[in-house]
Amino acid sequence: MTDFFILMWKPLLACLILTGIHTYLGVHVIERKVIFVDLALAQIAALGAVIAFLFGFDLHGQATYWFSLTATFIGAIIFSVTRMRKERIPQEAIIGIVYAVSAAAAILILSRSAEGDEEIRHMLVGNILLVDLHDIIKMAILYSLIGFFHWCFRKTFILISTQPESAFKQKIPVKWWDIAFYLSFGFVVTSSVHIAGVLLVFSFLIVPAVAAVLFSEVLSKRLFIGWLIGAATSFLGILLSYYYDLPTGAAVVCSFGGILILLSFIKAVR
Amino acid sequence: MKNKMIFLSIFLCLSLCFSSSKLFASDKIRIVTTTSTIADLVRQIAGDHADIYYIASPKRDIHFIAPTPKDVLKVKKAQVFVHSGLDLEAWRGPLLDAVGRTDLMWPSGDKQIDVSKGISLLEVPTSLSRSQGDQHAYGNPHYAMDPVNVKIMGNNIAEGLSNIFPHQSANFKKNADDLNQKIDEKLKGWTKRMSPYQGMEVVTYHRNWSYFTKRFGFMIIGEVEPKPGIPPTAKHMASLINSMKEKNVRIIMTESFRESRAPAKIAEATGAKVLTLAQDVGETQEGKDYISMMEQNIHLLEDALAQRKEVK
Repeated sequence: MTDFFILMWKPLLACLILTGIHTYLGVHVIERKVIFVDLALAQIAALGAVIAFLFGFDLHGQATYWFSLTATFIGAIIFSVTRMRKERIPQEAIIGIVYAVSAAAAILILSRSAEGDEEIRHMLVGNILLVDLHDIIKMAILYSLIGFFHWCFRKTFILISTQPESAFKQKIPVKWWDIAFYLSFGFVVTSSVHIAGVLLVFSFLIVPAVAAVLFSEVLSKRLFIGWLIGAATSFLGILLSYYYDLPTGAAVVCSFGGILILLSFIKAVR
Repeated sequence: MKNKMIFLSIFLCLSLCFSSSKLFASDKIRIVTTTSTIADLVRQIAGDHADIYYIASPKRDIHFIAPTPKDVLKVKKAQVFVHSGLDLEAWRGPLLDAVGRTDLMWPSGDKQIDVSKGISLLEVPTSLSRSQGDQHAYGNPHYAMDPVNVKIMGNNIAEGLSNIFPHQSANFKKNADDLNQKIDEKLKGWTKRMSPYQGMEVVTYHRNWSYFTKRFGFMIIGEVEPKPGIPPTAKHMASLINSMKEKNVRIIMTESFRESRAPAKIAEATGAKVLTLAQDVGETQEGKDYISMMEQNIHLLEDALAQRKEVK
């Protein structure tokens, strides 16, 4: 057991931090019905990095980070502008298009540059097992700041996610708040994906929030249930990964799937 | 509450199921290597005194390995870490960071052995601009495909192990000399068998074969992939097919873990033969150690070339 903690405390800690912020954002994402928005934002961030790469910047350097962030910002604007008050085109369609086009654009750009395909793949794969303390601390600070920002304006953020119509009626500048939401979301997703990979981040975002929806109508309760499930499942996944020598990220994702099935079953029987 | 009970029972079940298994045999030197080829060389040099574990499966592309918890634990407990140096194992840095042992880190750690020391590298980039990609910033890392380099690798292993375990240095040195001798003998035969095909032009999938072809006097006139990791485009394939026809190229060299559609298509258009050769020990059934792997590669080449001669 000591081996387990010596080896796995960092991935476990990273998972708990990811659970903290992503469950919260997941509750929003489910209310807004923009399930795949994180995939699209991660892909846009990767596209930004590819463009920086094309201009000859170091893929792990500061300049590339700013390129990624700018790209994410553009993505945030796209998603906030395309949210119509009366929805004719579902926003999931826009998200899908943004995802496909930015992924394809990255391939086009890379075909013109030299090597680097592997690095881009790394940006979207990540490996939670090998996370280092420096990354964890950076992540903890960044996510606390974003969490604090959301906590300060929680009423507005919740209102525009759950009842946009009444927000419009109250003359709240919904578009600007949407940009703020997607921008902070993009910040989080870009750094999370780099550490944990697309699949794991998606699971952290959606599964605890979905499981919570099964058991409660109240937002605050959902958040609490989500955190509990997220933390417990992270622990389970990491335990499985350690004892059966499985790829850690995938083990956690599949644990999420298993737990969700189990919870739905419990819900159905009750 | 019900949920908590369920989680609790899951954990109980799990902890009952698991028993901690012994990671290494206790009285042997614990050595972790990155590739199976290095593991084979270490086995030949350290003999029965070592418990050897390698991380990358030979059936996978060495550039894209995702280490598992067991790998991390093995490295954490290793007494020696042997690796290719350079940047062949792109995952080595993050793995060692996670392990957190500075004595295993390249280049200054005193418990790590870089087998590439003293090997003259091919395709060393003239400018270190990152825009040219950083996969091979130090030069082509697939040097183990030249048997002469493998002799150097063996000597590096013996030297590194001797530094760490001085009391066994005579043994390591002797084993390294034996390996050198075996390779020298084999190499004579291989060179002779390949000599009728000196100057022959070939196409490879990736730049894995630069050292091999240089040793045996072949010329690579192009790669199936236009750039590492980029799938072949129509234009690239067409121009490759043209130049292959023009130069009467008869061999396309590839590896077992690559996609086979593009090489097959090119082979169909040109009448060349696709040869899947082994890169690492254990990749094919025949290649149980370095020499038998190379023997098999040479045999496959010889066979294909002889057939072609008859057709002509």
